[in-house]
Amino acid sequence: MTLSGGLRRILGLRVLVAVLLVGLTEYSRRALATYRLPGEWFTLAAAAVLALLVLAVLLVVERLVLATPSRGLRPLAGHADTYLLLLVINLIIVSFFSPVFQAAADTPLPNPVVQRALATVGALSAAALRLVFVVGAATLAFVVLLVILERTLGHFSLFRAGGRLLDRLAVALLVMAFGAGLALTYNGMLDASAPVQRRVEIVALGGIELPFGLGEFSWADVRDRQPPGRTERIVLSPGRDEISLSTARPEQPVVINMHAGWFGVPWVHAITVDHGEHAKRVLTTLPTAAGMRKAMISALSRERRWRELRAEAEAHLREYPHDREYILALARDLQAHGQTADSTALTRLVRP
Amino acid sequence: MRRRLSVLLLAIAIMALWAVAYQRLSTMSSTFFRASGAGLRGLALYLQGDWAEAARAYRGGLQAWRRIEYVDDPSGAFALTAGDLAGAERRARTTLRLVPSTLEPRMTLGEIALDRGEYAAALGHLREVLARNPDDVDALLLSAVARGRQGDAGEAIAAFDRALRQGTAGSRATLMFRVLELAGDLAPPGRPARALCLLAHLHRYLRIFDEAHGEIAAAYAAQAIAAGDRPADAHLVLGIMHDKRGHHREALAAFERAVAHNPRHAEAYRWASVEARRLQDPMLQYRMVRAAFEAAPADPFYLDPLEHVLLRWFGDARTMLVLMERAIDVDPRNAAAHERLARAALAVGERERAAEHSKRAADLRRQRRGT
Repeated sequence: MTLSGGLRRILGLRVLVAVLLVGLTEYSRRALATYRLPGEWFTLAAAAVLALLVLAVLLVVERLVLATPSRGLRPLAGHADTYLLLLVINLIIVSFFSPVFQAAADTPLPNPVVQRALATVGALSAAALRLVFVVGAATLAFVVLLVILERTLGHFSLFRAGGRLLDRLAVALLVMAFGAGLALTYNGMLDASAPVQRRVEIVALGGIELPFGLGEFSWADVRDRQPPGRTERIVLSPGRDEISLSTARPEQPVVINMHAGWFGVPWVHAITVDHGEHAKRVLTTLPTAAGMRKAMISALSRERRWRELRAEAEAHLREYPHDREYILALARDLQAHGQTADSTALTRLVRP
Repeated sequence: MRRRLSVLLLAIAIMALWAVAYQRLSTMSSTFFRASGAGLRGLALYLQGDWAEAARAYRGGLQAWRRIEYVDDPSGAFALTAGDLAGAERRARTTLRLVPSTLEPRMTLGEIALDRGEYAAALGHLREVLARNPDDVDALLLSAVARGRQGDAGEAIAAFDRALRQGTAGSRATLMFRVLELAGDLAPPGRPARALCLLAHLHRYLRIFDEAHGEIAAAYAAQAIAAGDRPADAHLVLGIMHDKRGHHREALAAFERAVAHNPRHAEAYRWASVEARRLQDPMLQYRMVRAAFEAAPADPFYLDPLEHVLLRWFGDARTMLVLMERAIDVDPRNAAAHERLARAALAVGERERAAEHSKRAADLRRQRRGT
């Protein structure tokens, strides 16, 4: 008997399909965070996928509760509630010993499986258990609701038909979400186009912090700076962006790194702070901020913006006329990149 | 069926209760959990919100410290913690006779006076400590408690601000319980609270030991603002509580309101610069550290953030030179300003000037140490 065959016999095909749908929806959620599209509708779609992830978990629970236990599980199924209660009590007891398990997992052991098991149990500290219990209590409340509904309304054929319809509708929505995630993945992963930088400023921020340290779901409304363009909404991706709901504010200059997309649908790779714009603002007030200007010149060199680099070098020389070595080094850098005219002009400034 | 539902509901109840208990207890530091009858009584009173009685119960549970010998407790701090005031005073005075310049026994005498309700005498001892070390956190916090007991909320808040800007909660074992007791006495359960802004600061300090006090501090700060009780200081507390929750935009707005109420509030400017850094706005950060410096040009504490932004980050030695010259004009004995002026002078190639100010700074430090 194969592994899948064994699992199917124990859990039933319907439950396995629901578990698979949880995995596929999580994949879609990640695809939406990685290959974001600009637009308000996309923010709604990303929120909908989060909601669908919860729906997928509830679908697994619903199918587990309503499934007919396999012959092997039947003797245990009658006592599932008792086992559950004992599991809760055991988890609380284990959590008190989590530092001991953590210490044991930190010592080298010959068996990696035992070490992994100890690390897992050790990680089940009170903080982790709180999340497990909150999710567990919500899931059990759903189970109680299902049990009550089944016992009270379950014998009405209309109710059962409605339940089946909802179940299929949920499956259809989850499959559609997976399809959307797959399309976004192809659009981004197969895209070999060069990145395009859009310099924008944040107009507004919105979102919510998810409970229990699960991160945040947030977005920024941004407006093109030069020339001033339309306002667009972009979902923030904490792992990729330099800004987040708590570290960004309106009027902040940022750069959106975009790609054309394999299907021709532009997608957002990352949002970064516009350090160049910040440096310009500082230098307007403090023209003698040599460190800031040199950092800006380095950035201009990396971006091969030679004319601007020369202008900044000249400004630096006006403030610090004795810093000849630095200017000559810049001139050599320009020469090495084939910018002979700019290189000669800078050299003449320090060697008339 | 009924049994099954009952078991499921019991499991839900256990999980929910455990999560709620964890939520409450996990924010508290180990200071609150003591394996003794008095410690458990203190914990029960603390969880009920009777902080004054809880503090007294906790202090009653520290009797084991009585067994420590004089050689291990020359300042008398352990004896004092154990409630042996006479023994603590004897030890502190003996040590002061042997080494008159030592500060710890002086602080013990201050604490003994606090315990006896002699607040003016306590402040006298603490002033002697602060004259030698103006940023001594323990002495500042004890002064704040003494001022709070005297009803001088303004001076108490100033001492709290100066102590807490150092980023430590103090080292003496009784400090937290004294602040807890004062907070309880100023707002006894079921009775109206007095000195709202001071209460906000007391709970700001207690938040270091139990995060739950953050909400209480913010609530008192909001009440103080509504009542017009030192609104600048109250906005400062509100902003710090926003910062601790990671709400940096709201924190910045609160600090901006604080300086709108008091444009000379250096600490509010410094906190605003912290938020500007978290919000990745270098220009705003510079404006705020400079404003903090200009609000208190003689206070060496604000020179470090200014130097960090202006010299180490922006590389603007010239502006730093100008500002340090101004600081020295205000207080020619400001050793920290001389040191920074020397570093800025070195950065622009003025070696002789740098050496001159380095020497001046070293002389001033030596004079302060009395060597």
